Amino acid sequence: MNETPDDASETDNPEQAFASVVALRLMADRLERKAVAEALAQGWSWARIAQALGVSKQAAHKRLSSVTPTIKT
Amino acid sequence: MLKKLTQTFRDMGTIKTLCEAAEQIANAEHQPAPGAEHFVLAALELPDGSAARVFRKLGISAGAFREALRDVHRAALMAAGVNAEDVAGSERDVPPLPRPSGPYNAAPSGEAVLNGLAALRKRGVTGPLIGAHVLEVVSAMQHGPSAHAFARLGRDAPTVMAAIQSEMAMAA
Repeated sequence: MNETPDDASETDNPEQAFASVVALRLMADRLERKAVAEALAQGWSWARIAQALGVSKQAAHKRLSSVTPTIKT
Repeated sequence: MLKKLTQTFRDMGTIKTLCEAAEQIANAEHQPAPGAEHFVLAALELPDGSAARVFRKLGISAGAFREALRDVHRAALMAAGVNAEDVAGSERDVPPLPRPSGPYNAAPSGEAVLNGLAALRKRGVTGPLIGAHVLEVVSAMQHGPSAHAFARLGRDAPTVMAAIQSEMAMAA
């Protein structure tokens, strides 16, 4: 894979790269909860949510079952 | 012997208060398990007041530290190419986490704080466990959000450690 100048500057600074990785994980977790709430509001089943997330239905339900459907105002 | 036992019970109470507060702070930020930075914020709320005094010596407030943590997080996302609008959008209307249940679960950096506090006694530290001890353990961590937040506030590690040691000397 070709590395662009921007990519190079990020990977040349591990401190910054690791901070970005940690922040991206946290952001991904928040986006996942928001997306699940929206999917439930649209009537998605847990089987469908799990498939879209690429995890088992049990794993999705265990981690995300506290999410309730988004209420539209 | 009795004094040591009383001390142990008091420390257990402090640890419980600290852990519960750190967990609440982490959960409020949609993080299921508290990290070292959440233990710093929890230490600032401990009734002994030592961590809050260290912050006063450093000329920073809990609010400023909390804001610095948020700035560090947003800057890290933007460094990865996420634009400010998407960062803000990801923080809006996030479904709350469930109430914690089952065994206490800290993030690895939070576990390191608890292990560091336990190690203080092995190092011969006496007296009650106080908030400044939490800051001492966290400030020894070279990496992570707390180190970045202190740096963002213009307080380098030696400055933070000097303020902690000054507070410890006063408490002794």
